Amino acid sequence: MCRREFLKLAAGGTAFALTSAGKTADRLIPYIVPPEHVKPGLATFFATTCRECPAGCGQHLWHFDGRVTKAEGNPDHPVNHGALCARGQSALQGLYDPDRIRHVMHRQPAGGPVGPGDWETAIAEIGGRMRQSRGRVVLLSDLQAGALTDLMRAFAAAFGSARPLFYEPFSYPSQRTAHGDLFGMPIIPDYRIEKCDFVISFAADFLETWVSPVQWAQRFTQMHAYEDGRMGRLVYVGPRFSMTAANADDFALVAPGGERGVALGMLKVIVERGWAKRDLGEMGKAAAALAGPVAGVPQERIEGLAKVFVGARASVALPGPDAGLGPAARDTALAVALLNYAAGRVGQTVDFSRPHAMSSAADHDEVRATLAGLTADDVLVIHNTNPAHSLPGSAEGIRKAGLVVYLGTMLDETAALADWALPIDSPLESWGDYEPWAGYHSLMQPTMARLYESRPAGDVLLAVAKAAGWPLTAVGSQQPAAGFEDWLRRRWDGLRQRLAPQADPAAFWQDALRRGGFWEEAPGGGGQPNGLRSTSFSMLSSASASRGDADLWLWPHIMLYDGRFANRGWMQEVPEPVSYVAWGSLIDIHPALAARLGIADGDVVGLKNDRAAVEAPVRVTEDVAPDVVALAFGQGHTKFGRNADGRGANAFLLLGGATEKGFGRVTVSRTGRHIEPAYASTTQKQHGREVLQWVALSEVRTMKPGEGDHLIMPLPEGYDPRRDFYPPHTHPNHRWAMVVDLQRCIGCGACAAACYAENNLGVMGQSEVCKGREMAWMKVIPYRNQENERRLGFIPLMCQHCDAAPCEPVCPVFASVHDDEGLNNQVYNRCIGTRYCSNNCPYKVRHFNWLNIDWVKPLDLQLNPDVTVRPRGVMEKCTFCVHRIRRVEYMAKAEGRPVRDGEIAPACVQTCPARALIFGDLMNEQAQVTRLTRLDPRRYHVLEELNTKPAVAYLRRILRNAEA
Amino acid sequence: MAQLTYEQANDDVLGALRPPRRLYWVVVCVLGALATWALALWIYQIHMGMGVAGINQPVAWGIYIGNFVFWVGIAHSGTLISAILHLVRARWRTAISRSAEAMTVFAVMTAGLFPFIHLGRFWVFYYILPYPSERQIWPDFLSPLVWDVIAISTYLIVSVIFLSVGLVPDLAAARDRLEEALGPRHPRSRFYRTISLGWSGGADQWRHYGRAYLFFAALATPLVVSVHSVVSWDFAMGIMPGWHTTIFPPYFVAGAIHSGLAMVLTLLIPMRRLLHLERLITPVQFDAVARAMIVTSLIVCYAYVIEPWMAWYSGNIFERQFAWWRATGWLALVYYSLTPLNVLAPLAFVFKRVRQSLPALFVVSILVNAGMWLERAFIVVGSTSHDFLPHTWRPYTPSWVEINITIGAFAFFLFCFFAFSKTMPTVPLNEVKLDIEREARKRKGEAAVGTARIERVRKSQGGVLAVFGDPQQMLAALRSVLAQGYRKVEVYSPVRLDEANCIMGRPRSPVRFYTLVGALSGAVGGFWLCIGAAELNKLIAGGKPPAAIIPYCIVAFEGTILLGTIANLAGMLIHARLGSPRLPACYDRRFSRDKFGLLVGCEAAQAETVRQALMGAGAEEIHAVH
Repeated sequence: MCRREFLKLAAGGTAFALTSAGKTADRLIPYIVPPEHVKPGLATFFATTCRECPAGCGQHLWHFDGRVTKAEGNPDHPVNHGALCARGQSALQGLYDPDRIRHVMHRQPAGGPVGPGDWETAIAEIGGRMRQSRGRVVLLSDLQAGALTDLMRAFAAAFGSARPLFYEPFSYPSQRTAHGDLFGMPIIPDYRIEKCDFVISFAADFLETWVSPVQWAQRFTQMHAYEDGRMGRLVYVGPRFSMTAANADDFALVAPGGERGVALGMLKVIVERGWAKRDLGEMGKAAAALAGPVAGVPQERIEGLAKVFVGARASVALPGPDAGLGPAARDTALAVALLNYAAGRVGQTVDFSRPHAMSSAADHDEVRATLAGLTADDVLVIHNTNPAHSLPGSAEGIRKAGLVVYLGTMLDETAALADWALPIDSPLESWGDYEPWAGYHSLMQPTMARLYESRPAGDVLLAVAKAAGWPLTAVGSQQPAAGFEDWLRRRWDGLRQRLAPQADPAAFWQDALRRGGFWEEAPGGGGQPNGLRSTSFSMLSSASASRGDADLWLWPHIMLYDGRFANRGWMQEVPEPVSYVAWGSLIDIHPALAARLGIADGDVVGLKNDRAAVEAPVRVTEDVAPDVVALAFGQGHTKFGRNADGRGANAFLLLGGATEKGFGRVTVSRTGRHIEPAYASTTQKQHGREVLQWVALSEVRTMKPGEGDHLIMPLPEGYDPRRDFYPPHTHPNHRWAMVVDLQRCIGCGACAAACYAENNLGVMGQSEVCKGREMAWMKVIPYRNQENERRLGFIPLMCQHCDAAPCEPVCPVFASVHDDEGLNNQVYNRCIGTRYCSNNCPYKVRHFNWLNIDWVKPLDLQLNPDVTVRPRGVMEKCTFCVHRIRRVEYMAKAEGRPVRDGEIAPACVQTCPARALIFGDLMNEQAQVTRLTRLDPRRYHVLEELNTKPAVAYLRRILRNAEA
Repeated sequence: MAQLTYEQANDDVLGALRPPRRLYWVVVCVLGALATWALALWIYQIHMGMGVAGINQPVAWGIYIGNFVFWVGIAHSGTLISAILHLVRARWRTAISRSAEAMTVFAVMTAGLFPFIHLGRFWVFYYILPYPSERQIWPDFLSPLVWDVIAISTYLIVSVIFLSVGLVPDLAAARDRLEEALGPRHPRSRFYRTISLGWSGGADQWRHYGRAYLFFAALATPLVVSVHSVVSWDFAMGIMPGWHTTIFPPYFVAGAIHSGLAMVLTLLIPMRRLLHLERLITPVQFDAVARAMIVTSLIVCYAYVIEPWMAWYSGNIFERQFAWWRATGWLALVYYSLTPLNVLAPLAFVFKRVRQSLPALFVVSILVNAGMWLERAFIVVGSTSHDFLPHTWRPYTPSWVEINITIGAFAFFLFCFFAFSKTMPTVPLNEVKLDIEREARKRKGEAAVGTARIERVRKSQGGVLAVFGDPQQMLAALRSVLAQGYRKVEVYSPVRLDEANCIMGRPRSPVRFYTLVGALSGAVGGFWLCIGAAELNKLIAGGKPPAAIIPYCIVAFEGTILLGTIANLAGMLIHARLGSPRLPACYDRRFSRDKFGLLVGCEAAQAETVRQALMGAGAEEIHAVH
């Protein structure tokens, strides 16, 4: 972080926290006397921590005149280093969700409708009830790691519970159990993927949702990018071709449970050949005894994998699946832990010294049991989690409690069960902290004044405890805490005393706020495991295999996660990377199974097991193993909000049943109905057009810089009288351009979501996406390799800012026109909507405003004031974030210096976890884009034969041949 | 036609203006309701956005543009029949030319609606017009859409002028007939008196009129070829496979004439019967139209054959796959319907029996109309639906709004045509009479040359007016009075009698100079506008330099035609003294029907001598004018 950025970062959340009137954001000029650091029309940045999933990335929030407009990664944060995933981008839509709870809600005694209540009554009544309660007070919360954890522990302890239950639908209990059983360390360790030459994922979708996906994506691209002839290798073993699998060099499609088989098989080879670097003892023998043949993966292949895994300089095996529960998943985790141990990776690439916060999440069985054991004497407090949606059967348990208090931002399925639904601050409105990995103390601060009558969850707990006669006291404090902010400050003062005793308290606090937290270099954790304990594999027989039509495979959706994002338009509309379907659930079925059952693409089918039945349309695809049906979590809400309700199927209903392999069997039935899934790309075949190009690793290794295609540059040098009818034109100062490294791009769609946030893109909805009318200026299009359908590439496609742009001369009114920095500009107020430019754009990156876009209040507060909101009837498209270019240009001019290379980052470039996008000035000889477009042997232009002279160059994706 | 007399022709043509029957009103009301419904839907679309249409990404142009191209095409045969056939003196055109011209105007009007309906923000359509505004931005004359605007508006203006000018003598005939029947104060009489601009059929008027009409035809002829070429460039200038091809201009022009001729048949076969014009519009005309359609269908056939061949021959993967997709994709059914409808059906006209059977002609014309509409929609939708990047490929189905507006457009067109057929002479009466005259003259075989210098008969002066039933007798009388030394003479006739002006020794009309100056300034102005606007804008579009001469030739060409036509009209109105509804005092209503007048200006003393001479020349009546 440079000096200027540091100054720009505001550390004064107090300014907002103290303004009780939260309505400032609605006014054109929100402040008569603005706070010192708020300049009208200029952005201020607040560092905070993303709490959209348990990964805990650092965020910077753009704050304009009293409202936040954009979330970006905090470059200084050790988890995400400036990148942010699509879900993190959508934090804004969570804050501005029109369906948020705006005031206290109270269920009438007769079980009637939930009516409005007020805070004072609520706290008095809840406190009074708790004072009288003869039973326990059970506290169920989403994962917390910080001051709120302490507070909740104190709260639980005060009211007769052992501890608060931190419930996360995806918390990898099998991994924790396996590590506990084997090493005595029931934690989720840190996986140093970036150090590896070889990574093998056993159905762990670590680039999508697994533990800390942005972090893994960064580490993975460090390992998997092509650099100086070197490139790491990823192998994925699983029953579904996920986005992570699409990034693998080698994908083994197995039946559910096959991932366990391959892991055991590798283990057996290692044990029998004596390749193990550390002795596995009895456990090795036990594992080898269980190994058997795996359908679809020949023994030689398993041997090859084992050999590379042990032989690599550094390698790691990752256990999955993400949603896997029970003994079957534990077996996989055991086998994977043993593999890592045997190959000497524990302590090398598997770091137990920095456990993830998820390690303290409650077991699902424990949550289930606790809820089932509730009685009318008990009080249940649920904080910010939705078991009624994600934990089937929990609703009955919840209702058995005498009093159910819900603290949350959304009136979701769980809130609907509560007696009191209390609105709490969104993470962007609240103080807080979170420690995603041991020693990474991340701070949260209010980035704007609160919108509604919400309160910080900590304050509510403190107030309730006080009303119940048990005022809570923070550690190191004598008197009861005044509020949660006070609690937090005390905790951080304790941290300071421990970690930086010499530091000035105020400076330490300010610095941590600006930086986003405090990072311990080497946490004093438990260190690495030093031995292996003996435990047993459960290895269930496939007794239940005969029932049903197919194996079920459930997976977390990269955009929707466990469903908490389902009401956010961006997350519904940015398509799932591999199927490229937006809005709604989709059941993947193998063609063989589909043929057997007489099912075609788009037919709605029902899946049924002994727990539930769900319905969704079908995608017939070879991306799943034969005899498998796959369904994502995230949809099927019944009461969550306007975008989520009644959409798709709730996969959690099918989850459970600890006694089955994988996710069990289901019967598949036709319903006779047909729904066209909202495909945002109509085919993944290239039809010989080489849109997304590949190059063999063996070939590119032999190429020297400068070899390969010679691009027709969008510069005067691109002029060739044999090809060009018109003379060249020059650019006086800059010629902006982008390079996209397709080998780095993992397809996560963070850039697409960032574009929605930055450029005020409208969310169109399912029916419009079906007509191709989504407004995505930036799409990450999946295309299959022409030779091998199992190799998928992702090509981020945005306006190519062609030097000879076909869209421009056909516009009758100069609405599409070039500027002297090479940008292809769209002048909205001049556009009359002929749509000829769109027809003539060979890249089809222009988007027309077909309909009025409804900015439901308060979602309109998110609109970026630097970007025009387009009216109906005009064309729009990627601008290379021209407002960001201008901002940097003005800044450079004010400072009397040229624009530095890499200083300008359009929203997509800024957020990309894979650093696949590089932006710069082709007129700058030193710029990275100049070097790559002239020297990188992998460079090419899409549709170069059309002589459009595009400013976006792509670097070919690499196809690792068998020998390489 | 030779067997018809002036009187009969007059009765047939103007008789059609009699008050319509109830069925007519029913039909007109239905058509009007459909058009109004379409207007309401358009307003709905404006309110909701273009999303209510079925167009999508990538098919950003749908049947609105297909309709536009179709209706512009329909507009083509009208000018072809009126102008080109006028220039090549194809006499069979006479009886059907007026309806064809009217069809042209209404078709252009219908076509012109669709770009508006299609625009995302039609309320700022004027951004496309070249006029100095506070925005300081001129349109891009490199854009085919600007060429379109210029070409279509030029075509509309020229067609309207051409139609109106042709109507003037016939409106005078209608005026006179109505004044006789209903009296001069009746509103209908007043109406026709006003719009006939004071046409008296004087030889001097005929002189300027005839010359101007020739120039209108000469200017309209290249225009008709240019307009659909420009429309085809809307597509050919795009880079899409299937659009980006040099065959489009001739292909589109031929297709346009093909569909236009079919529409002529569709309209005239019923109209001839409903308006009782069987004596004027005869199977001879339909036979000739059918023969022309054989030629155009063969040109269209050539295009159909050459397109896939070129796609294959090019070796280009986009072109080849596109051609294959046309034959196999979701539009294949439309693709396969084109050849039967547009080529095979009209080729039936090689058989004389088909050409002479009105039901067969009618059925084939309907098939061709349907086929040509499908072809237009197919071209628009096909290429956009299947372009460069496969992930965007998407089919298109017109929405109910688009379909209803399309139906409404047909209703609007027919509504206009129905209204026209009951208010305006649907057959060019003066030309029909001229044909009758020419037939008659052929029998008599006379020619005439004169050298006398004629003066205008002033109002203050008196004179003698002779009424003749036979133009030859009138001409002989004219010759004889001129020989006697009278110089103040004027001739009134229902047809253009070039000999009269020859005998009177009048020079050729000076209207031609107006036309020349107008045309030249249009050409220069076109270049000036484009280059000047480019220099003011100084904007780079598509990597092209601001001023590009080749595309500007199109604008200059349209300017030539437009200003040439307007100047031609101005010259005619000035010299033929048209505009005021007032007529010469001596004018007789029969002069627009079947009588010829010869007015000899003379002193009262000479009147008797003149009277004698005219009586001797066979005048039916003699009136003294004072």
